[in-house]
Amino acid sequence: MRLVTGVWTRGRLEASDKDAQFTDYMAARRPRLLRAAYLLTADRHLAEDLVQTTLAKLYLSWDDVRSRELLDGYVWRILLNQHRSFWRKAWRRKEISTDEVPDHGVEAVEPDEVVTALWALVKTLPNRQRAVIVLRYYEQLTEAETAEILGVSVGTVKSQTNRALASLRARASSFPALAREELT
Amino acid sequence: MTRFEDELTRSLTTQVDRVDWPAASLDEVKRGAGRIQRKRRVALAAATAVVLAILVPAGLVVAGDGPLRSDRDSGPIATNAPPSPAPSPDPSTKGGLEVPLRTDVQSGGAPRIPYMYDGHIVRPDGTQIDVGHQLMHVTPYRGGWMGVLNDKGVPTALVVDAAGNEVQRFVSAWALAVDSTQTRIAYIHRFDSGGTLNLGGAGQGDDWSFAEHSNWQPIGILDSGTVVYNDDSIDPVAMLADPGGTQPIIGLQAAMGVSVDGLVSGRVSLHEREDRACYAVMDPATSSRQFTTCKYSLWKFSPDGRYVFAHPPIYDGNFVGQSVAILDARSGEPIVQYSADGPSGPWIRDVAWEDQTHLLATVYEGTDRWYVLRLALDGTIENVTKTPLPGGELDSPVLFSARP
Repeated sequence: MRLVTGVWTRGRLEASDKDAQFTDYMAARRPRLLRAAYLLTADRHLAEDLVQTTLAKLYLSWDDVRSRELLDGYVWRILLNQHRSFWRKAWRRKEISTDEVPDHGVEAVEPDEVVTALWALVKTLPNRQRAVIVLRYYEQLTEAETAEILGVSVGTVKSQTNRALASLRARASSFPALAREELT
Repeated sequence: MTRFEDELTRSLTTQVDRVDWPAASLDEVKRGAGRIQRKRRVALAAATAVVLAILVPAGLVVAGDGPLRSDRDSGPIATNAPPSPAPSPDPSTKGGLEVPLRTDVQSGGAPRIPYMYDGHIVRPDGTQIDVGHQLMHVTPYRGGWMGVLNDKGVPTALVVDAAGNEVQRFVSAWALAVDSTQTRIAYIHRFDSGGTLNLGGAGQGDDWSFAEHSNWQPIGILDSGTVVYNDDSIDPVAMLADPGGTQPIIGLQAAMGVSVDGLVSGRVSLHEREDRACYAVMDPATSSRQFTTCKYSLWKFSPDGRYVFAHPPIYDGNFVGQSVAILDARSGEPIVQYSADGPSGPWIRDVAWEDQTHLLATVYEGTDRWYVLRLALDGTIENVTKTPLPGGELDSPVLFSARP
Protein backbone atom coordinates (compact mmCIF):
# COMPACT_ATOMS: atom_id res chain seq x y z
CA MET A 1 0.00 0.00 0.00
CA ARG A 2 1.33 3.39 -0.97
CA LEU A 3 0.06 6.37 0.92
CA VAL A 4 1.98 8.88 -1.08
CA THR A 5 2.23 9.26 -4.81
CA GLY A 6 2.42 12.04 -7.35
CA VAL A 7 3.58 15.57 -6.64
CA TRP A 8 2.95 18.11 -3.97
CA THR A 9 1.98 20.97 -6.24
CA ARG A 10 2.58 21.88 -9.84
CA GLY A 11 6.33 21.58 -10.10
CA ARG A 12 8.97 21.49 -7.43
CA LEU A 13 8.97 23.80 -4.48
CA GLU A 14 11.59 26.48 -4.18
CA ALA A 15 14.27 25.39 -1.71
CA SER A 16 13.45 28.14 0.75
CA ASP A 17 9.75 27.31 0.66
CA LYS A 18 10.50 23.66 1.12
CA ASP A 19 12.74 24.33 4.12
CA ALA A 20 10.22 26.65 5.70
CA GLN A 21 7.39 24.19 5.28
CA PHE A 22 9.50 21.31 6.52
CA THR A 23 10.70 23.26 9.55
CA ASP A 24 7.12 24.04 10.51
CA TYR A 25 6.11 20.43 10.11
CA MET A 26 9.10 19.19 12.08
CA ALA A 27 8.45 21.61 14.93
CA ALA A 28 4.86 20.48 15.14
CA ARG A 29 5.34 16.74 14.81
CA ARG A 30 8.80 15.83 16.06
CA PRO A 31 7.96 15.76 19.79
CA ARG A 32 5.12 13.34 19.24
CA LEU A 33 7.21 11.19 16.93
CA LEU A 34 9.95 11.05 19.55
CA ARG A 35 7.54 9.95 22.23
CA ALA A 36 6.05 7.24 20.03
CA ALA A 37 9.51 6.12 18.95
CA TYR A 38 10.50 5.85 22.58
CA LEU A 39 7.51 3.61 23.27
CA LEU A 40 8.52 1.40 20.34
CA THR A 41 12.19 1.15 21.24
CA ALA A 42 12.27 1.76 25.01
CA ASP A 43 15.60 3.45 24.37
CA ARG A 44 16.00 7.20 24.28
CA HIS A 45 18.99 7.30 21.98
CA LEU A 46 17.56 4.73 19.60
CA ALA A 47 14.32 6.73 19.51
CA GLU A 48 16.23 9.88 18.58
CA ASP A 49 18.09 8.04 15.81
CA LEU A 50 14.86 6.58 14.56
CA VAL A 51 13.10 9.92 14.34
CA GLN A 52 16.13 11.62 12.84
CA THR A 53 16.29 9.02 10.07
CA THR A 54 12.53 9.22 9.57
CA LEU A 55 12.67 12.99 9.17
CA ALA A 56 15.63 12.73 6.79
CA LYS A 57 13.70 10.32 4.59
CA LEU A 58 10.66 12.56 4.75
CA TYR A 59 12.79 15.52 3.70
CA LEU A 60 14.00 13.59 0.65
CA SER A 61 10.45 12.83 -0.45
CA TRP A 62 8.89 16.14 0.63
CA ASP A 63 8.43 17.29 -2.94
CA ASP A 64 6.58 14.12 -3.82
CA VAL A 65 3.89 14.32 -1.18
CA ARG A 66 0.58 14.89 -2.85
CA SER A 67 -1.45 16.05 0.09
CA ARG A 68 -0.69 17.54 3.47
CA GLU A 69 -3.44 15.34 4.91
CA LEU A 70 -1.48 12.23 4.00
CA LEU A 71 1.75 13.37 5.62
CA ASP A 72 1.14 11.99 9.07
CA GLY A 73 0.29 8.55 7.79
CA TYR A 74 3.31 8.64 5.53
CA VAL A 75 5.61 9.61 8.37
CA TRP A 76 4.24 6.80 10.49
CA ARG A 77 4.92 4.34 7.72
CA ILE A 78 8.53 5.52 7.46
CA LEU A 79 8.97 5.39 11.22
CA LEU A 80 7.58 1.88 11.60
CA ASN A 81 9.50 0.50 8.62
CA GLN A 82 12.66 2.08 9.96
CA HIS A 83 11.98 0.59 13.37
CA ARG A 84 11.72 -2.88 11.83
CA SER A 85 14.96 -2.25 10.03
CA PHE A 86 16.70 -1.17 13.24
CA TRP A 87 15.38 -4.23 15.00
CA ARG A 88 16.66 -6.62 12.35
CA LYS A 89 20.08 -5.03 12.47
CA ALA A 90 20.03 -5.36 16.23
CA TRP A 91 19.15 -9.04 15.87
CA ARG A 92 22.21 -9.56 13.81
CA ARG A 93 24.36 -7.68 16.27
CA LYS A 94 22.55 -9.43 19.15
CA GLU A 95 22.49 -6.21 21.10
CA ILE A 96 18.83 -6.26 21.96
CA SER A 97 16.94 -8.84 23.95
CA THR A 98 13.16 -8.94 23.97
CA ASP A 99 13.10 -9.41 27.71
CA GLU A 100 15.59 -6.78 28.72
CA VAL A 101 15.57 -3.73 26.50
CA PRO A 102 18.04 -0.99 27.41
CA ASP A 103 16.22 1.87 29.02
CA HIS A 104 18.58 4.82 29.00
CA GLY A 105 17.53 8.34 29.65
CA VAL A 106 14.51 7.85 31.89
CA GLU A 107 14.77 10.01 34.95
CA ALA A 108 14.20 8.34 38.27
CA VAL A 109 10.91 9.68 39.59
CA GLU A 110 8.46 8.61 42.22
CA PRO A 111 7.52 5.20 40.91
CA ASP A 112 3.96 4.38 40.13
CA GLU A 113 4.00 0.62 40.47
CA VAL A 114 1.14 -0.01 38.07
CA VAL A 115 2.69 2.23 35.42
CA THR A 116 6.09 0.64 35.88
CA ALA A 117 4.77 -2.90 35.79
CA LEU A 118 2.65 -2.35 32.68
CA TRP A 119 5.53 -0.68 30.91
CA ALA A 120 7.78 -3.62 31.76
CA LEU A 121 5.22 -5.92 30.18
CA VAL A 122 4.74 -3.78 27.09
CA LYS A 123 8.48 -3.91 26.48
CA THR A 124 8.32 -7.69 26.14
CA LEU A 125 5.69 -7.65 23.37
CA PRO A 126 6.76 -8.62 19.86
CA ASN A 127 7.41 -5.61 17.65
CA ARG A 128 4.25 -5.89 15.62
CA GLN A 129 1.99 -6.15 18.66
CA ARG A 130 3.84 -3.36 20.35
CA ALA A 131 3.33 -1.08 17.36
CA VAL A 132 -0.38 -1.80 17.40
CA ILE A 133 -0.56 -1.08 21.13
CA VAL A 134 1.29 2.22 20.74
CA LEU A 135 -0.90 3.34 17.85
CA ARG A 136 -4.15 2.29 19.50
CA TYR A 137 -3.51 3.21 23.15
CA TYR A 138 -1.00 6.03 22.97
CA GLU A 139 -1.75 7.65 19.64
CA GLN A 140 -5.43 6.81 20.17
CA LEU A 141 -5.90 5.92 16.52
CA THR A 142 -8.90 3.96 15.37
CA GLU A 143 -8.56 0.39 14.15
CA ALA A 144 -9.02 1.60 10.58
CA GLU A 145 -6.35 4.31 10.94
CA THR A 146 -3.97 1.81 12.52
CA ALA A 147 -4.60 -0.67 9.73
CA GLU A 148 -3.92 1.99 7.11
CA ILE A 149 -0.60 2.94 8.66
CA LEU A 150 0.57 -0.62 9.19
CA GLY A 151 -0.62 -1.71 5.77
CA VAL A 152 -2.71 -4.56 7.11
CA SER A 153 -6.40 -5.37 7.33
CA VAL A 154 -8.62 -4.08 10.14
CA GLY A 155 -9.11 -7.68 11.19
CA THR A 156 -5.39 -8.05 11.65
CA VAL A 157 -5.28 -4.97 13.85
CA LYS A 158 -8.06 -6.48 15.96
CA SER A 159 -6.32 -9.82 16.26
CA GLN A 160 -2.94 -8.27 17.04
CA THR A 161 -4.52 -6.01 19.65
CA ASN A 162 -6.38 -8.90 21.24
CA ARG A 163 -3.29 -11.06 21.30
CA ALA A 164 -1.23 -8.28 22.83
CA LEU A 165 -3.81 -7.55 25.51
CA ALA A 166 -4.20 -11.26 26.27
CA SER A 167 -0.46 -11.62 26.55
CA LEU A 168 -0.19 -8.60 28.88
CA ARG A 169 -3.02 -9.86 31.07
CA ALA A 170 -1.63 -13.37 31.20
CA ARG A 171 1.68 -12.14 32.53
CA ALA A 172 0.25 -9.40 34.74
CA SER A 173 -0.34 -11.84 37.58
CA SER A 174 3.40 -12.08 38.15
CA PHE A 175 3.45 -8.38 39.13
CA PRO A 176 2.11 -7.87 42.66
CA ALA A 177 1.12 -4.27 41.88
CA LEU A 178 -1.10 -5.37 39.02
CA ALA A 179 -2.50 -8.27 41.00
CA ARG A 180 -3.35 -5.96 43.89
CA GLU A 181 -5.15 -3.62 41.53
CA GLU A 182 -6.91 -6.64 40.01
CA LEU A 183 -5.45 -5.79 36.61
CA THR A 184 -4.96 -9.41 35.62
CA MET B 1 -12.20 0.94 27.09
CA THR B 2 -11.70 -1.42 30.00
CA ARG B 3 -9.87 -0.40 33.15
CA PHE B 4 -6.89 -2.44 32.00
CA GLU B 5 -6.81 -0.51 28.72
CA ASP B 6 -7.15 2.80 30.58
CA GLU B 7 -4.19 1.87 32.77
CA LEU B 8 -2.25 0.84 29.71
CA THR B 9 -2.78 4.26 28.13
CA ARG B 10 -1.77 5.91 31.40
CA SER B 11 1.37 3.81 31.59
CA LEU B 12 2.43 4.71 28.05
CA THR B 13 1.70 8.40 28.54
CA THR B 14 3.56 8.49 31.85
CA GLN B 15 6.62 6.85 30.34
CA VAL B 16 7.00 9.38 27.57
CA ASP B 17 6.28 12.32 29.85
CA ARG B 18 9.33 11.35 31.90
CA VAL B 19 11.75 11.96 29.05
CA ASP B 20 13.09 15.32 27.89
CA TRP B 21 14.13 15.54 24.28
CA PRO B 22 16.85 17.73 22.82
CA ALA B 23 16.02 20.06 19.96
CA ALA B 24 17.01 19.20 16.41
CA SER B 25 17.85 21.52 13.57
CA LEU B 26 16.92 21.39 9.93
CA ASP B 27 20.63 21.23 9.11
CA GLU B 28 20.94 17.94 10.99
CA VAL B 29 18.00 16.52 9.06
CA LYS B 30 19.55 17.65 5.79
CA ARG B 31 22.86 16.03 6.65
CA GLY B 32 21.03 12.79 7.40
CA ALA B 33 19.18 13.07 4.10
CA GLY B 34 22.47 13.49 2.28
CA ARG B 35 23.87 10.34 3.84
CA ILE B 36 20.78 8.38 2.81
CA GLN B 37 21.05 9.65 -0.76
CA ARG B 38 24.66 8.55 -0.98
CA LYS B 39 23.80 5.08 0.34
CA ARG B 40 20.96 4.76 -2.16
CA ARG B 41 23.24 5.65 -5.03
CA VAL B 42 25.76 3.04 -3.94
CA ALA B 43 23.03 0.42 -3.56
CA LEU B 44 21.59 1.22 -6.98
CA ALA B 45 24.98 0.90 -8.60
CA ALA B 46 25.59 -2.44 -6.91
CA ALA B 47 22.17 -3.78 -7.95
CA THR B 48 22.75 -2.75 -11.54
CA ALA B 49 26.09 -4.50 -11.56
CA VAL B 50 24.49 -7.70 -10.29
CA VAL B 51 21.85 -7.60 -13.00
CA LEU B 52 24.44 -7.25 -15.69
CA ALA B 53 26.69 -9.92 -14.30
CA ILE B 54 24.37 -12.89 -13.87
CA LEU B 55 21.56 -14.62 -15.63
CA VAL B 56 18.81 -15.46 -13.19
CA PRO B 57 16.43 -18.35 -13.89
CA ALA B 58 12.84 -17.32 -14.44
CA GLY B 59 11.03 -16.65 -11.21
CA LEU B 60 14.00 -17.31 -8.99
CA VAL B 61 16.34 -15.29 -6.82
CA VAL B 62 15.32 -11.70 -7.30
CA ALA B 63 17.42 -9.47 -5.11
CA GLY B 64 16.60 -6.01 -3.79
CA ASP B 65 13.91 -4.08 -5.59
CA GLY B 66 13.46 -6.76 -8.19
CA PRO B 67 14.41 -5.44 -11.62
CA LEU B 68 13.99 -8.99 -12.96
CA ARG B 69 10.34 -9.42 -12.02
CA SER B 70 8.94 -9.27 -15.54
CA ASP B 71 9.25 -13.04 -15.95
CA ARG B 72 6.00 -13.34 -14.02
CA ASP B 73 4.00 -12.42 -17.12
CA SER B 74 5.70 -14.85 -19.43
CA GLY B 75 3.11 -17.61 -19.17
CA PRO B 76 -0.37 -17.80 -20.71
CA ILE B 77 -2.70 -15.53 -18.76
CA ALA B 78 -6.25 -16.75 -18.45
CA THR B 79 -7.66 -13.30 -17.86
CA ASN B 80 -10.97 -14.04 -19.55
CA ALA B 81 -11.21 -17.67 -18.63
CA PRO B 82 -14.72 -18.97 -18.02
CA PRO B 83 -15.47 -19.41 -14.32
CA SER B 84 -14.91 -23.14 -14.36
CA PRO B 85 -13.70 -25.45 -15.57
CA ALA B 86 -10.80 -23.52 -17.00
CA PRO B 87 -9.50 -24.44 -20.45
CA SER B 88 -7.40 -27.59 -20.38
CA PRO B 89 -4.04 -26.22 -19.36
CA ASP B 90 -0.62 -27.62 -19.97
CA PRO B 91 1.19 -27.64 -16.64
CA SER B 92 4.50 -27.85 -18.42
CA THR B 93 3.95 -24.41 -19.95
CA LYS B 94 6.93 -22.20 -19.11
CA GLY B 95 6.12 -19.68 -16.42
CA GLY B 96 3.02 -21.55 -15.39
CA LEU B 97 -0.67 -20.93 -15.81
CA GLU B 98 -2.18 -17.76 -14.45
CA VAL B 99 -5.77 -18.25 -13.38
CA PRO B 100 -8.14 -15.69 -11.83
CA LEU B 101 -9.04 -16.53 -8.25
CA ARG B 102 -12.79 -16.20 -7.98
CA THR B 103 -15.67 -17.70 -6.11
CA ASP B 104 -18.38 -17.76 -8.81
CA VAL B 105 -17.27 -21.14 -10.11
CA GLN B 106 -18.92 -24.53 -10.42
CA SER B 107 -19.63 -26.57 -7.33
CA GLY B 108 -17.42 -29.45 -6.35
CA GLY B 109 -17.68 -32.40 -4.02
CA ALA B 110 -17.08 -32.31 -0.28
CA PRO B 111 -13.55 -31.97 1.07
CA ARG B 112 -11.63 -35.23 1.16
CA ILE B 113 -9.77 -34.30 4.34
CA PRO B 114 -11.23 -33.68 7.80
CA TYR B 115 -12.06 -30.14 8.76
CA MET B 116 -13.59 -28.15 11.59
CA TYR B 117 -16.89 -26.40 11.20
CA ASP B 118 -19.05 -24.90 13.93
CA GLY B 119 -17.34 -26.86 16.70
CA HIS B 120 -17.56 -30.18 14.84
CA ILE B 121 -14.90 -32.30 13.22
CA VAL B 122 -16.33 -33.25 9.84
CA ARG B 123 -14.76 -36.36 8.35
CA PRO B 124 -14.56 -37.09 4.62
CA ASP B 125 -17.43 -39.58 4.90
CA GLY B 126 -19.61 -36.82 6.26
CA THR B 127 -19.81 -38.04 9.85
CA GLN B 128 -19.36 -35.36 12.46
CA ILE B 129 -17.92 -35.29 15.95
CA ASP B 130 -19.09 -32.54 18.26
CA VAL B 131 -16.11 -31.26 20.26
CA GLY B 132 -17.77 -28.08 21.44
CA HIS B 133 -14.95 -25.80 20.30
CA GLN B 134 -13.61 -24.59 16.99
CA LEU B 135 -10.14 -26.13 17.02
CA MET B 136 -7.16 -25.37 14.85
CA HIS B 137 -4.91 -28.06 13.36
CA VAL B 138 -7.17 -30.87 14.49
CA THR B 139 -5.57 -34.27 13.90
CA PRO B 140 -6.01 -37.92 15.00
CA TYR B 141 -4.31 -38.64 18.32
CA ARG B 142 -4.45 -41.58 20.73
CA GLY B 143 -7.66 -42.99 19.34
CA GLY B 144 -9.31 -39.59 19.38
CA TRP B 145 -8.27 -36.17 18.21
CA MET B 146 -6.02 -33.31 19.24
CA GLY B 147 -6.41 -29.69 18.22
CA VAL B 148 -5.37 -26.24 19.31
CA LEU B 149 -7.97 -24.01 20.90
CA ASN B 150 -7.72 -20.24 21.15
CA ASP B 151 -8.54 -19.81 24.83
CA LYS B 152 -8.71 -16.04 25.34
CA GLY B 153 -5.55 -15.55 23.34
CA VAL B 154 -3.67 -18.47 24.88
CA PRO B 155 -2.92 -21.41 22.56
CA THR B 156 -4.39 -24.42 24.31
CA ALA B 157 -4.18 -28.03 23.18
CA LEU B 158 -7.40 -29.98 23.54
CA VAL B 159 -7.41 -33.77 23.40
CA VAL B 160 -10.77 -35.45 22.88
CA ASP B 161 -11.76 -39.11 22.59
CA ALA B 162 -13.35 -40.66 19.52
CA ALA B 163 -16.75 -39.42 20.63
CA GLY B 164 -15.54 -35.86 21.13
CA ASN B 165 -15.40 -35.93 24.93
CA GLU B 166 -12.63 -33.84 26.43
CA VAL B 167 -9.76 -35.94 27.76
CA GLN B 168 -7.10 -33.34 28.44
CA ARG B 169 -6.27 -29.71 27.84
CA PHE B 170 -3.02 -27.83 28.40
CA VAL B 171 -1.24 -24.68 27.33
CA SER B 172 0.51 -25.31 24.04
CA ALA B 173 1.75 -23.45 20.93
CA TRP B 174 -0.25 -22.20 17.97
CA ALA B 175 1.16 -24.93 15.77
CA LEU B 176 1.37 -28.68 15.87
CA ALA B 177 2.90 -30.92 13.23
CA VAL B 178 1.90 -34.21 11.64
CA ASP B 179 4.12 -36.76 9.88
CA SER B 180 3.53 -38.08 6.36
CA THR B 181 1.63 -41.13 7.63
CA GLN B 182 -0.52 -38.88 9.81
CA THR B 183 0.03 -41.21 12.74
CA ARG B 184 2.54 -39.17 14.71
CA ILE B 185 2.30 -35.56 15.84
CA ALA B 186 4.70 -33.10 17.39
CA TYR B 187 3.24 -30.65 19.86
CA ILE B 188 4.24 -28.30 22.66
CA HIS B 189 3.14 -28.83 26.27
CA ARG B 190 3.77 -25.80 28.47
CA PHE B 191 3.77 -25.69 32.26
CA ASP B 192 4.23 -22.87 34.76
CA SER B 193 7.92 -23.65 34.95
CA GLY B 194 8.65 -24.36 31.31
CA GLY B 195 7.55 -26.65 28.52
CA THR B 196 8.36 -29.64 26.39
CA LEU B 197 8.36 -30.51 22.72
CA ASN B 198 6.72 -33.93 22.38
CA LEU B 199 6.49 -36.49 19.64
CA GLY B 200 3.38 -38.55 20.13
CA GLY B 201 1.27 -40.94 18.18
CA ALA B 202 -2.05 -42.60 17.81
CA GLY B 203 -1.04 -45.07 20.53
CA GLN B 204 -1.07 -44.47 24.26
CA GLY B 205 2.34 -43.02 24.98
CA ASP B 206 4.57 -40.36 23.55
CA ASP B 207 7.77 -41.45 21.86
CA TRP B 208 9.85 -38.77 23.49
CA SER B 209 9.80 -35.25 24.84
CA PHE B 210 12.42 -32.56 24.99
CA ALA B 211 12.63 -29.44 27.15
CA GLU B 212 11.46 -26.31 25.33
CA HIS B 213 14.04 -23.59 25.84
CA SER B 214 12.12 -20.68 24.35
CA ASN B 215 9.16 -20.06 22.07
CA TRP B 216 9.05 -23.13 19.82
CA GLN B 217 6.55 -23.93 17.07
CA PRO B 218 6.51 -27.47 15.60
CA ILE B 219 6.39 -27.44 11.80
CA GLY B 220 6.90 -30.98 10.54
CA ILE B 221 8.24 -34.46 11.18
CA LEU B 222 10.82 -36.16 8.99
CA ASP B 223 10.43 -39.87 8.31
CA SER B 224 13.32 -40.51 10.69
CA GLY B 225 11.16 -39.11 13.48
CA THR B 226 13.19 -35.93 13.71
CA VAL B 227 10.98 -32.93 14.41
CA VAL B 228 11.44 -29.69 12.50
CA TYR B 229 10.47 -26.70 14.58
CA ASN B 230 10.95 -22.95 14.63
CA ASP B 231 12.60 -21.20 17.53
CA ASP B 232 10.83 -17.84 17.53
CA SER B 233 13.02 -16.26 20.16
CA ILE B 234 15.39 -13.35 19.66
CA ASP B 235 17.11 -14.62 16.54
CA PRO B 236 14.61 -16.81 14.68
CA VAL B 237 15.99 -20.07 13.40
CA ALA B 238 14.63 -23.38 12.16
CA MET B 239 15.78 -26.35 14.20
CA LEU B 240 15.83 -30.13 14.25
CA ALA B 241 15.04 -32.13 17.37
CA ASP B 242 15.33 -35.82 18.17
CA PRO B 243 15.98 -37.69 21.42
CA GLY B 244 19.67 -36.96 21.02
CA GLY B 245 19.27 -33.20 21.10
CA THR B 246 18.60 -30.20 18.91
CA GLN B 247 20.55 -28.52 16.15
CA PRO B 248 19.91 -25.59 13.82
CA ILE B 249 19.20 -25.95 10.13
CA ILE B 250 22.00 -23.75 8.90
CA GLY B 251 20.71 -20.88 6.78
CA LEU B 252 17.02 -21.42 7.46
CA GLN B 253 15.36 -18.73 9.56
CA ALA B 254 11.89 -20.24 9.67
CA ALA B 255 10.65 -23.57 8.36
CA MET B 256 7.23 -23.69 6.71
CA GLY B 257 6.84 -27.25 5.47
CA VAL B 258 8.44 -30.70 5.43
CA SER B 259 8.22 -33.09 2.49
CA VAL B 260 7.78 -36.84 2.49
CA ASP B 261 11.24 -37.17 0.95
CA GLY B 262 12.96 -35.15 3.62
CA LEU B 263 13.14 -31.61 2.21
CA VAL B 264 12.20 -28.48 4.12
CA SER B 265 10.69 -25.24 2.81
CA GLY B 266 11.13 -21.94 4.59
CA ARG B 267 12.50 -18.43 4.86
CA VAL B 268 16.20 -17.90 4.34
CA SER B 269 16.48 -14.11 4.49
CA LEU B 270 14.70 -10.87 5.29
CA HIS B 271 15.26 -7.72 3.26
CA GLU B 272 15.22 -4.61 5.36
CA ARG B 273 13.78 -2.39 2.67
CA GLU B 274 10.23 -2.99 1.60
CA ASP B 275 9.60 -5.83 4.01
CA ARG B 276 10.66 -8.50 1.56
CA ALA B 277 11.90 -11.98 2.23
CA CYS B 278 13.44 -14.86 0.32
CA TYR B 279 12.57 -18.51 0.65
CA ALA B 280 14.12 -21.81 -0.32
CA VAL B 281 13.56 -25.53 -0.45
CA MET B 282 16.53 -27.25 1.14
CA ASP B 283 17.89 -30.47 2.52
CA PRO B 284 17.96 -29.90 6.29
CA ALA B 285 20.88 -32.26 6.80
CA THR B 286 23.25 -30.50 4.44
CA SER B 287 21.55 -27.09 4.03
CA SER B 288 21.96 -27.49 0.28
CA ARG B 289 19.23 -25.64 -1.58
CA GLN B 290 17.03 -27.04 -4.34
CA PHE B 291 16.09 -23.47 -5.30
CA THR B 292 15.67 -20.03 -3.81
CA THR B 293 12.98 -17.47 -4.58
CA CYS B 294 12.25 -13.93 -3.46
CA LYS B 295 9.02 -13.84 -5.42
CA TYR B 296 7.08 -16.29 -3.26
CA SER B 297 6.84 -17.42 0.32
CA LEU B 298 7.01 -21.22 0.30
CA TRP B 299 4.62 -23.27 2.40
CA LYS B 300 3.56 -26.92 2.49
CA PHE B 301 4.60 -29.74 0.16
CA SER B 302 2.13 -31.94 -1.69
CA PRO B 303 1.70 -35.41 -0.11
CA ASP B 304 4.07 -36.92 -2.69
CA GLY B 305 6.61 -34.14 -2.23
CA ARG B 306 6.58 -33.11 -5.90
CA TYR B 307 5.02 -29.68 -5.39
CA VAL B 308 5.00 -26.90 -2.86
CA PHE B 309 2.36 -24.20 -2.60
CA ALA B 310 3.37 -20.58 -2.30
CA HIS B 311 1.98 -17.15 -1.51
CA PRO B 312 3.28 -13.61 -1.94
CA PRO B 313 6.32 -13.03 0.27
CA ILE B 314 4.59 -10.51 2.54
CA TYR B 315 2.22 -11.88 5.15
CA ASP B 316 -0.67 -9.63 6.18
CA GLY B 317 -0.86 -11.21 9.62
CA ASN B 318 -4.36 -12.49 9.08
CA PHE B 319 -4.55 -13.39 5.42
CA VAL B 320 -1.74 -14.97 3.46
CA GLY B 321 -2.58 -12.75 0.53
CA GLN B 322 -4.64 -12.78 -2.61
CA SER B 323 -2.79 -15.40 -4.58
CA VAL B 324 -1.58 -18.93 -4.25
CA ALA B 325 0.80 -20.69 -6.60
CA ILE B 326 1.85 -24.30 -6.97
CA LEU B 327 5.54 -24.69 -7.72
CA ASP B 328 7.70 -27.63 -8.67
CA ALA B 329 9.41 -28.50 -5.39
CA ARG B 330 12.71 -29.30 -7.08
CA SER B 331 13.10 -26.44 -9.52
CA GLY B 332 10.79 -23.72 -8.16
CA GLU B 333 9.19 -23.46 -11.58
CA PRO B 334 5.57 -22.25 -11.21
CA ILE B 335 2.98 -24.73 -12.46
CA VAL B 336 -0.11 -22.63 -11.79
CA GLN B 337 -0.90 -19.41 -9.98
CA TYR B 338 -4.34 -18.35 -8.82
CA SER B 339 -4.60 -14.59 -8.26
CA ALA B 340 -7.48 -12.34 -7.22
CA ASP B 341 -8.19 -9.21 -9.18
CA GLY B 342 -7.73 -6.35 -6.71
CA PRO B 343 -8.45 -5.87 -3.01
CA SER B 344 -12.18 -6.37 -3.44
CA GLY B 345 -11.53 -9.92 -4.66
CA PRO B 346 -11.03 -12.98 -2.49
CA TRP B 347 -8.47 -13.02 0.33
CA ILE B 348 -6.92 -16.33 1.24
CA ARG B 349 -6.76 -17.40 4.87
CA ASP B 350 -5.88 -21.07 5.01
CA VAL B 351 -4.61 -23.53 2.41
CA ALA B 352 -4.12 -27.30 2.71
CA TRP B 353 -3.27 -30.09 0.31
CA GLU B 354 -6.29 -32.29 -0.27
CA ASP B 355 -4.35 -34.82 -2.36
CA GLN B 356 -1.39 -34.84 -4.77
CA THR B 357 -3.04 -32.47 -7.23
CA HIS B 358 -5.58 -30.38 -5.32
CA LEU B 359 -5.47 -27.65 -2.73
CA LEU B 360 -8.31 -26.53 -0.52
CA ALA B 361 -8.41 -22.86 0.40
CA THR B 362 -10.63 -20.83 2.69
CA VAL B 363 -11.21 -17.40 1.21
CA TYR B 364 -12.95 -14.28 2.45
CA GLU B 365 -14.78 -12.01 0.08
CA GLY B 366 -17.03 -9.00 0.40
CA THR B 367 -18.71 -8.55 3.74
CA ASP B 368 -18.47 -11.47 6.11
CA ARG B 369 -18.67 -14.18 3.47
CA TRP B 370 -16.41 -17.19 3.39
CA TYR B 371 -15.92 -19.87 0.77
CA VAL B 372 -13.90 -23.04 0.46
CA LEU B 373 -12.35 -23.46 -2.97
CA ARG B 374 -10.68 -26.47 -4.51
CA LEU B 375 -7.74 -25.40 -6.65
CA ALA B 376 -6.29 -27.97 -9.01
CA LEU B 377 -2.87 -28.35 -10.48
CA ASP B 378 -4.44 -28.10 -13.94
CA GLY B 379 -5.94 -24.68 -13.25
CA THR B 380 -9.53 -25.64 -12.51
CA ILE B 381 -11.43 -24.21 -9.58
CA GLU B 382 -14.41 -25.61 -7.72
CA ASN B 383 -16.46 -24.06 -4.99
CA VAL B 384 -16.86 -26.60 -2.23
CA THR B 385 -19.31 -24.48 -0.23
CA LYS B 386 -22.92 -24.64 -1.32
CA THR B 387 -23.67 -21.13 -0.12
CA PRO B 388 -21.36 -18.51 1.35
CA LEU B 389 -20.56 -19.23 4.98
CA PRO B 390 -21.12 -16.33 7.37
CA GLY B 391 -18.16 -15.18 9.44
CA GLY B 392 -16.19 -12.05 10.26
CA GLU B 393 -12.86 -11.28 8.72
CA LEU B 394 -11.08 -12.90 11.66
CA ASP B 395 -13.39 -15.86 11.93
CA SER B 396 -12.89 -18.34 9.16
CA PRO B 397 -15.72 -20.81 9.80
CA VAL B 398 -13.74 -23.71 8.32
CA LEU B 399 -10.35 -24.94 9.49
CA PHE B 400 -8.63 -27.86 7.79
CA SER B 401 -7.06 -30.72 9.68
CA ALA B 402 -3.32 -30.65 10.16
CA ARG B 403 -1.38 -31.94 7.18
CA PRO B 404 2.28 -32.86 6.87
